[in-house]
Amino acid sequence: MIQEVLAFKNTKCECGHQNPVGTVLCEACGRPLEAEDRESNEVLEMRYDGMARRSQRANPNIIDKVWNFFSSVKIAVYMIILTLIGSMLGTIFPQEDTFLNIDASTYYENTYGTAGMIYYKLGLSHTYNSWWFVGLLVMIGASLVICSLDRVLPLYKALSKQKIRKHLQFLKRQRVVYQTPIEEDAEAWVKRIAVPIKKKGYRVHTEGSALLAEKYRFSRWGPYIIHIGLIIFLLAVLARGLPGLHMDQHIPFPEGEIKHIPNTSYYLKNDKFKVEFYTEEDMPTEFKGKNKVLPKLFETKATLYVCTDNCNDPTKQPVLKEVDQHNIQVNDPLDYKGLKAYQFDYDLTPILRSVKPSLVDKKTGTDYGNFKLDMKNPQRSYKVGAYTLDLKEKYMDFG
Amino acid sequence: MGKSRKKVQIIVLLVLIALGAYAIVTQVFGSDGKPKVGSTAPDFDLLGLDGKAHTLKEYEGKAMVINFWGTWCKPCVKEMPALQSQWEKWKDKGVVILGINAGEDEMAVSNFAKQVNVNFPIVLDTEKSAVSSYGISPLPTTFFVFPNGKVKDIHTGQLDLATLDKQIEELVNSQ
Repeated sequence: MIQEVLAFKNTKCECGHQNPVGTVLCEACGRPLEAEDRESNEVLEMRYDGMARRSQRANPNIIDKVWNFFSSVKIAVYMIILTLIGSMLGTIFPQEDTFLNIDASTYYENTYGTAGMIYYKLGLSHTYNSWWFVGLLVMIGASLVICSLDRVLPLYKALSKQKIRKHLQFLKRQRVVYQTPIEEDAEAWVKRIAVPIKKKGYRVHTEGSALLAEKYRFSRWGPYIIHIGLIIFLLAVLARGLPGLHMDQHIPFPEGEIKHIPNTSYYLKNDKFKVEFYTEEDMPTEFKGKNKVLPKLFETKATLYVCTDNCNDPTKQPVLKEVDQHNIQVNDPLDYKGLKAYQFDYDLTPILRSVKPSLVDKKTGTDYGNFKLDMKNPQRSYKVGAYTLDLKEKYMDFG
Repeated sequence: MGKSRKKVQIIVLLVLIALGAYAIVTQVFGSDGKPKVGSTAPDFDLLGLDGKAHTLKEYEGKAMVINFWGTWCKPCVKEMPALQSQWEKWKDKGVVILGINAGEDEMAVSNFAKQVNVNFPIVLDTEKSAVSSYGISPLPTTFFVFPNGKVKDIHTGQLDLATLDKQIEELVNSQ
């Protein structure tokens, strides 16, 4: 390209059209611009109908060079291959974020040995959050945007201002060519032939003895529609990182306790958790006789509350309002305005939540009644019959 | 057209650089968010044993020792006297020693404080929100925080009087 400019190459076609540097076929008539190309009988280079891509220009400066780098399909293919290899490396051992609570610096070495240690040291235990992986994705995104911009405009121009009469070479050197002599008067023949072609659904343009018929022009935009889709996808992934747009937390909800969901104004109560297991009889056949314990049902009856007052004041009890109720099952989360609560794990270890002792006079056998004593945040004073009981201390680690 | 094309190129490249930088920064540095040495200590808003809410902001300008502990954690219990003696030594010299109890209720904590005879400020992290924002996994963990709110050092495990004294002295001398 630079050589062309240095050689003061004339990019003006014989039809009188001035073409930009990098044009292969004259924008107006389709005549090959290179003298060498004109002498050849090969099939024409029909990409973008011979238009120059935006990135092809004389005297590229630094911005042009960056632009050209990203507009290159070859570079994009290399970037995609590198990303593929990177993604594969990330699957050798589980990623750090698949574990809830590990110390990665020792976990990989202890679990997978030296290979695990090297894996961790290379930073592959968090491949998908590493600077180079995200960098590659960003570059692919940039390449998608620039490639598209670089090609969409020339294509638009090529399609919108087509000259009907093309250069003979342009016609003869297409991939599919049919040549035959016609005895009739040229203009009359063109007029006559336009009718059946139109019937076949082509859009027909005529200019004297030249005829141009085309259909399904929209399909030429296919690659760019896919590109736009990919760009939207990448932007959506980016948007997840914006504060408040994405949240993922693992929180234990003991039965019967209203717990706050951190960083939201929501509280969730696990009303009742139920797990049912398959009996040997109704176990699916492929698992029968294998001595396996398979759960049949996980269900959490859950109630969601929203805080309406005293939300961020630790000295006061928050005022809660019930907003939703749902029986959470596998693949059926509680879903309230996009906040979804799934089940993740369960723990059947019983917890002592409260006791209901009675006050009885041993000598007379008089029962003064009972009271409820919570284990967590208990009341400090209880009235039972004529007595007032004060709670002085609790010793939780009995039993 | 040449000029506008160049403008478009520059704008497109700038937007891509901005988005790319944002993506890399949030993905690579923003993913765990736990404070490290040199980063700013996260704020909290917790109920103190004195019945008032306490935030990190109210201690701004003071060197801080933030100790995460639980009454059931033996090394935490053992380091209480050291924390208390340092509190008495430094409280008038712009140093705050703050205990953050991880998840226990008011009664357990206040009875414990009386029992081991400590009176440095203690706040209750019943929802373990500070525990998670500070990324605490083993107890006790102690953060030494400069008066400007930056973390000077993080100590995991039991503290002895000498280290504690040395750390606090370094905090105070930094002023």
